[in-house]
Amino acid sequence: MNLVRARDVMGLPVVSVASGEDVAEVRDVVYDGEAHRLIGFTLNKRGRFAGRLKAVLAAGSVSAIGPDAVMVDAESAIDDDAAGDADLRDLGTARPVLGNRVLSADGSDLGEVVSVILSTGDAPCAVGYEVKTEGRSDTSFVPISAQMALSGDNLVLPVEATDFVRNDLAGFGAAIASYRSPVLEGGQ
Amino acid sequence: MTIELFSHVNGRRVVATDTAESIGSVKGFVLDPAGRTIEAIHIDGHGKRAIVLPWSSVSSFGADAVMASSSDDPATISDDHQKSAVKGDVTMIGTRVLTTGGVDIGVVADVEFETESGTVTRVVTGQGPLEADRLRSLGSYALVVEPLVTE
Repeated sequence: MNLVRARDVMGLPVVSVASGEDVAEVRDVVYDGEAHRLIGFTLNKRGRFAGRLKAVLAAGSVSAIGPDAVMVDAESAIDDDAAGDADLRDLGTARPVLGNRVLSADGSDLGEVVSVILSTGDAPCAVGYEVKTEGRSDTSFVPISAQMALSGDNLVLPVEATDFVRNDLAGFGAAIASYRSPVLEGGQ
Repeated sequence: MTIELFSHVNGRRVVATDTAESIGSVKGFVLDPAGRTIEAIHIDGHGKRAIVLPWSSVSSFGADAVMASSSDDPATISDDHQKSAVKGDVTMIGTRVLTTGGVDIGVVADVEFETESGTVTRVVTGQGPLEADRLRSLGSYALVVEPLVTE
């Protein structure tokens, strides 16, 4: 499974498969830490002097996320009344996850969440978090689990997820592929 | 069946069958929204005054000249779709190729087409040829294609 950091999706063009036109650009990734769920994207207009677009793009309207573009079936995916937009506009219950501490079930502090990791391809979803440990230059990747408990400031990694922690994104993609099934129910 | 390349036919003269007059030369093509068929040939002029020959008026796309049925057939561009093509905003050669999975696989180097029907058969990219049945849409940003293998 190919993965991408949420922040690397920012700035990618949103391209319509129906027309081959770039209809927008990703401004920000909207993510609900409570549900470990990718909600969607806020958008900028394309072009040098472009500003923010009122329209948003719900995760369910994305046909694929790739390294070079976010693909939608047609421009109607970013219409003002497209499905799933209400979630994106009302973030009342969504909880930020960046900056949370990740604790293993046996009580060791693995570090701080610095990025959300998304699966690419069709039906993109959140599959993990990138975690930075103090005093170390590299980061590690922990899988998102439906059983993952989150408080205001801590995430607890379930015991069964520990085996799937990796230090590189490519290796994490392979680990996630075998860890996948419980994740998808909770992550979609 | 004769296959030609866009790069080879560029500049080929266009002659009216009824008057035997030269009415222009091949400057470019207006393609359908999927990029699979030629709708018209851009034969003269620029911008708003560009002259196109509808593919239906091509009586023969020959090795040395393109024969138009009548000297009355060429027309000035009539819509935004044709305008974006003759201005070079929506054109095959040089356009980025993007898969439906959002992966950039290079730019279009050339296009193969059947001279009898005006059907695009293959698109040549830096990473090799793409069969026309993989083409999804041609826009100002990209030629969107189906990926060859699951990404």
